Amino acid sequence: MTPHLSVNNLKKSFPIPGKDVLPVIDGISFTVDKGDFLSIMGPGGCGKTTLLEIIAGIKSTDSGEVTINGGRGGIALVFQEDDLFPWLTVEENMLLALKSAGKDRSTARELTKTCLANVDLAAFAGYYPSRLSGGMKKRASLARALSLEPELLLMDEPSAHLDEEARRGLHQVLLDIAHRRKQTMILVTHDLQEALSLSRKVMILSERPSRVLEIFDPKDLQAKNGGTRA
Amino acid sequence: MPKYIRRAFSPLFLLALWEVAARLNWIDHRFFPAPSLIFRELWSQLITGNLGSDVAVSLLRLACGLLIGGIPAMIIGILMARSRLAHDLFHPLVVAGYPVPKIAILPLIILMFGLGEWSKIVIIAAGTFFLMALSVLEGVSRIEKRYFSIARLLRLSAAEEWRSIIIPAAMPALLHGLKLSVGSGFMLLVASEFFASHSGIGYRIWASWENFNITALYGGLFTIMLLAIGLQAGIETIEKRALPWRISEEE
Repeated sequence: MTPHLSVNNLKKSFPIPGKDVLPVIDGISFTVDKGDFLSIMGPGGCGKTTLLEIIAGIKSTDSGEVTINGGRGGIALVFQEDDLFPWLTVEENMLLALKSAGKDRSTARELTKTCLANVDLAAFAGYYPSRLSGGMKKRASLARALSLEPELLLMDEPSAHLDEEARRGLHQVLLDIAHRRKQTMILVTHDLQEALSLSRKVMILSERPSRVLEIFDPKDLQAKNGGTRA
Repeated sequence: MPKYIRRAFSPLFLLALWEVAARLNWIDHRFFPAPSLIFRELWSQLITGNLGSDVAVSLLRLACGLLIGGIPAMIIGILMARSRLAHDLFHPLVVAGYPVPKIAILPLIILMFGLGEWSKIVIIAAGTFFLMALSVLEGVSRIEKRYFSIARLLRLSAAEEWRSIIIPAAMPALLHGLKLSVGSGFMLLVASEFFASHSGIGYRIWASWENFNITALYGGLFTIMLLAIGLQAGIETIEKRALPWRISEEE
């Protein structure tokens, strides 16, 4: 089967003013199949966010290839920081994205309603992001991303600044879309427990300049340890 | 205690103290006439229509100056923030022109535009232009990069990027610049009306000084203060309507 996403020998450096360059990613290769849920872990500054941004097409590569079945049109990204436009309400944020994706007004409204209900935010459609809690903002971002019905959903530490309860709520939504929609997802996280409990594959990166240290299935790890899935 | 009562307290207290001091002859009446006399003077000017026409003439000059200076400033401020070329072309001029006291170029402007309306409008426009251009530049430059990344990811068109990101994000800086410009505009308006005018609040203050009518002079000053309060309140109302998300953040 052709993988949905194929990253081949990807390299990326950043220029440092007055100096040479800072190599961040040093030849990363991996694949993601349709319906897969891959978590990427690694030390701070090893280029995890850069990797996601390259896959999303926001940043360019120095060398290497990113091949996506169906092209980049079907990618949605949930950023680590708040990524809703603060001057638009939650609903307006979603309608803007959907309008830009070519949906007509009534379809966009319908999708907005459904996706907000799916993340338990139906009552907050008219709220400005500043009035939502951290967890609610993250779920709203996720709703916006899901409303675009992406082929590939990228998430950059979505639970980074959330309290335990908000984190659990977000995990529930992610598990739900992974099982129900068979959504192909890549999650960048610092939390091993999160990676093990949510994803089907975990990729560990080395320190900068990063390379792939290991890719494993959490079930294999648990089988080895004789434990059960968290 | 409601906000408007708290805000009115200190000016009303000062006026009451001034009134008592004047009535008890603690202060020199020639320089500090009692506020009740000043308001009586204002009332009589209002009845005769002089005050209304002076205020109307001055506000029209101020509005024209703000518009003529503010619109190009907004465009150039946004261009400087979004284009390196525009920044290199305009920024040195704006930075060099900003600290020059605009009142210092009034004689030159009178020479170029004459004693009529245009010299007063142009001096206000000049003061507004530099303030607004720098405010808008600052505001747009501070838009966080991630919003543009999101725009790219959502494949927003250039027009949508302007409408959905740049303009709303620049609005707080724009309104802040407008507030500052109203203050500076009043100063330039009154100064220009001192020298080259037969109408307006500045002219009325100058004429009162020439006739040593100190009560009317204070009347002019009070009028400016009341107008400034009214205009600032007006801008705050626009702010609330135009930037509901900011109100939401403050709450």
